[in-house]
Amino acid sequence: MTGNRYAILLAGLPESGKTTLIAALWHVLRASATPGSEGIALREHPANREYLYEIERQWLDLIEVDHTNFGEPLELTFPLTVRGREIDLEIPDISGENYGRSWEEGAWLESVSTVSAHAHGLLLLVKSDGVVKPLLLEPDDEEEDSDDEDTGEAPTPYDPAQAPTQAKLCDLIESTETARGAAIPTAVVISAWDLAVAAGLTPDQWLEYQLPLLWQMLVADADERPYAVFGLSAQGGDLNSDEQRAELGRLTDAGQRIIVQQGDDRSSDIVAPLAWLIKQDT
Amino acid sequence: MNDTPESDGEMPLNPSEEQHPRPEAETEVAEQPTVDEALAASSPDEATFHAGGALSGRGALSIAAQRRTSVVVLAGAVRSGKSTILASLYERFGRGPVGGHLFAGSRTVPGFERLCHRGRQKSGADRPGMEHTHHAAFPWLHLCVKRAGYSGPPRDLLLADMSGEHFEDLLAGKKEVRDIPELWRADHICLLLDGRNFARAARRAGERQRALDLCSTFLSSGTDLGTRTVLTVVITKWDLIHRAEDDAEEATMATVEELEHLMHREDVPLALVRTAARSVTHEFPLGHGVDDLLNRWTDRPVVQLDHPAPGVSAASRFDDFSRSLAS
Repeated sequence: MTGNRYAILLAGLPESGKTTLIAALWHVLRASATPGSEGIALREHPANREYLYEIERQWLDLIEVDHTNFGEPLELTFPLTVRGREIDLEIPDISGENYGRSWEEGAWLESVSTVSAHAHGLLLLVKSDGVVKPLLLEPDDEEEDSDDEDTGEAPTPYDPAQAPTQAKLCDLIESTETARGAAIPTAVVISAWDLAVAAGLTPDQWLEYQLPLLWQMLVADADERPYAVFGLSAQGGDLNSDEQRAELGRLTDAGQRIIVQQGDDRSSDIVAPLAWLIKQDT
Repeated sequence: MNDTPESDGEMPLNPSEEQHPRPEAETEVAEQPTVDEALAASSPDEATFHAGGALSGRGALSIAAQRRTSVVVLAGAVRSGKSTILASLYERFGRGPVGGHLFAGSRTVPGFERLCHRGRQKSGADRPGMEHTHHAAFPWLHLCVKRAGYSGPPRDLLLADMSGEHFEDLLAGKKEVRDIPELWRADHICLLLDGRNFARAARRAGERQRALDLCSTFLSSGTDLGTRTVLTVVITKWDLIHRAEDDAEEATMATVEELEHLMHREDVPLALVRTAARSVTHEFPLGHGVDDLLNRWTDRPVVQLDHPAPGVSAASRFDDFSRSLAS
């Protein structure tokens, strides 16, 4: 933490739920009557909140939250009190396309790199139903002497966009830490958790089974890079299902839609991943 | 968690035999500056170069200068299976821990992904023309691993995905070991015997001779690259040898014994690893043997500081290195 400033790098591939998380977080912070984890509460309304109200309205209306910011990171600062201490929480809203492009082109936007370099913690989002699994090497069953001949088949060009999710996320952490020059505390947030709950796994188990490369990377260096894994459904259900939309709409306290799970504990405390990150720095 | 330190041991000829610990080797050399560190310090503004997801020599040196790093070179002819072994190792990590090791990161994840893509092509990972030149220019892949339950720092590996043409040039006398900086910097040389060639009677003699010649070249290079402390014999495509109907297995092992005889002056047993990275038989799972290789790379001490310098002046060696990095 630098003075009262705590900066979070909210990172994830396109459509991993970053803007939806910000919308729900903003709503809870401004509308909740009781402080969240670590006594986190909004100290005052931020000066520039037009964007926050816009995405909050979509979230409240049970509409898929649009990401309208495709260029430079949008500066968002939440003036908070955390256990009685004043902290300005910075969460720049960075388009997932920026992260996707960095993987595909091997370079980050300078502004994203700057945000990474000054971040205190990483909130890494991955969507539970958006995982691209790695393909396996094929058995090498060429016929005898076939290596002397051209098969006539043109090789398929490599398309980095099709790479496995876990490779992209491991590289994102590497790039962040290269920009920062040090390991970064990391909260992995598995979004659309409502779709994964039926499997009966904890978020840590889900990560181990679905993204084993990322899971190993976090476990192997946990002393240097503290980490925690959360399941999060900011909407609370599938908005494409009329039945679920109707059920969610009946909750007058919209904050109750939210599902947050860490280990076996389930709640609606969307502040919990942020609180965990801030706690690593205090 | 167990708190068992990583051992520094040699893998015997028969992997099932007990390993022989070499506990002191790494700590003895830990404080001395390396050639790499000196070179990295001489060009601090050019820390890392990437292309195709792999690292240039300078990029590799920036890692070696920061952390204690083992350098691994797979030596073998074109299409002997070098790239496939590296792709297979990464692919295995993509499914979970390998040989008791956790994946702890990589500065070249995009490079590994490209390598796996090449490996999935029907025409084979090492077929000339498939990004071959690209990888020859930027050969280094980085892998950071940690033994599960070990409380110490992770181990960094720099893996040279070098074109087989370099080794063909060595055999043809067009190049010497001193012309290939990756080689004389290596802590581990894996001498590849191409199982596909041993599986075919008509190609056996050529493959045997190539392996003996390459080993002899290393032994006569004035370095310790051909010694048993550095060299591991790796039989690739063991599944093809295994399923061959004639005496392919016996012929292969006879060549291994000849290699062992070449290095008969040493007490250390010759290390042998059989791999079947893209196995076609059910006896061997995909990636068979790569866990043994990884264990070898992490168990062995970092020995490059013990390598005698090639017989040229220090200035020339740096020039050679610089030229290779600039290429």
